[in-house]
Amino acid sequence: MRINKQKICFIICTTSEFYLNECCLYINQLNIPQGFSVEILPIYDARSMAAGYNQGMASTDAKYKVYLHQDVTIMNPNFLNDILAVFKMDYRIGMIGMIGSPVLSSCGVMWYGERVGNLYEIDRNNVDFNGYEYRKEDGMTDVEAVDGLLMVTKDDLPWREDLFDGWDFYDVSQSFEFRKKGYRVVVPEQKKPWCAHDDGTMNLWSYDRYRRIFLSEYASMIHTY
Amino acid sequence: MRIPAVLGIESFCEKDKAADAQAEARMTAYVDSIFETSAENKPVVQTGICAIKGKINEKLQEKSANAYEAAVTMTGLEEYEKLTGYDYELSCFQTAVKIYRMESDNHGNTIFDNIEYIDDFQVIFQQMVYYFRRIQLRLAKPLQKECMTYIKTKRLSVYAVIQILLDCGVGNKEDIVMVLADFYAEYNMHKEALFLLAVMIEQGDASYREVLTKKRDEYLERI
Repeated sequence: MRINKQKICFIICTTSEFYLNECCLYINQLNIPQGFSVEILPIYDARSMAAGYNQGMASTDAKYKVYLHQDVTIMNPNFLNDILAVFKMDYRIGMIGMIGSPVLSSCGVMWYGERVGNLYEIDRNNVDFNGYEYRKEDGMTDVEAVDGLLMVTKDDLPWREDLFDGWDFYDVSQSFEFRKKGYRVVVPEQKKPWCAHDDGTMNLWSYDRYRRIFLSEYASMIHTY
Repeated sequence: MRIPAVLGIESFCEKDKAADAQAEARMTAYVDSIFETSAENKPVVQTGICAIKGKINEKLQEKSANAYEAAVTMTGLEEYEKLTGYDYELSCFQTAVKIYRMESDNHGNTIFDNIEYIDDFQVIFQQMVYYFRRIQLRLAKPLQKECMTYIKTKRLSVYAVIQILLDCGVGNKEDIVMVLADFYAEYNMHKEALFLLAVMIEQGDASYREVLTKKRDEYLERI
């Protein structure tokens, strides 16, 4: 398939029209960069997040792909221009996230180490986007892994559905796959939170299984003392 | 923005010592033990969630004041409280109970009359969060005003609206209440508008008290 460099595709694995509708409502409000087109690709009945994202990746010709959860709302109306501005800052940037770990804890759990980024849930009164746009001076942080609530890529690498056949660690794994190929994975400084994530209580029942698979697969890339 | 670790390696270091391999080993052992315990508890927790939801759903479907009281009593159990940490619908349902108490004190239709299952309330809760956020982000007015259609269709009382707002995680609640009050007023529901403002004057941020009071006085004059 010939890649369309002026196209951005939102890929959303969904189980609920209720969440999907609100997610799409905000996508449809975004300012579209000059000359670009936008596509929304819901994936129904995905076997796993990685499998669903592979399916989405193969079904679009868009160069830029925004993989996001159905319960995420993108509040920053300038989001698309802002992510393009980040990618333009260095051709080696392959992936952008909203929240990420500069150094992933050796136990593999993102929240057991310091993270960077911003989210509505931690900055909920700061959402007046009038006149807001990301500026180079705002900066960004190189991270080892980003949270799967929203991940943007400018090139395609297969998601490891061979290893991660559930709903956990597909995000950390994909961040590591990008870094293995020499890409930078970054989280831009968000003076205002770009997204909200209404995820309720985290379901971690299968988390440990995939955590152990992750630690085994990427052992050589994990920092230890 | 830096987001501190929920539990970082520093917590496993010896006093006045930097992180080292020993601290890391202690942390790894701790994290492994958390997940092992969680796996051991999984069958009990999942059974507990199913059982308590099943019982409450039965009571909701009975549609009687006695059955509703029995459902409320279940939410006061220690077991219920523990399970809310694992299940968002159980956690949200605590708001439904607060709403029910206010509504039944006022002898009106209650939130329980409008739902058959615990998860029906979670959908209402989330939908209202979405509407509140549309108001907070000042989306186009028609998108904001959809909330009034929803409130009417779902027969949500003003007690339900304010309690969900107070319990949910949206920001700028005082601003949201002022917009909601205007929406109610447009439907000639001035009592509801005044109630929303009164609650926020009492429970909102003190810095908003003056502006909320002024708005309330404007409504009183209009009525």
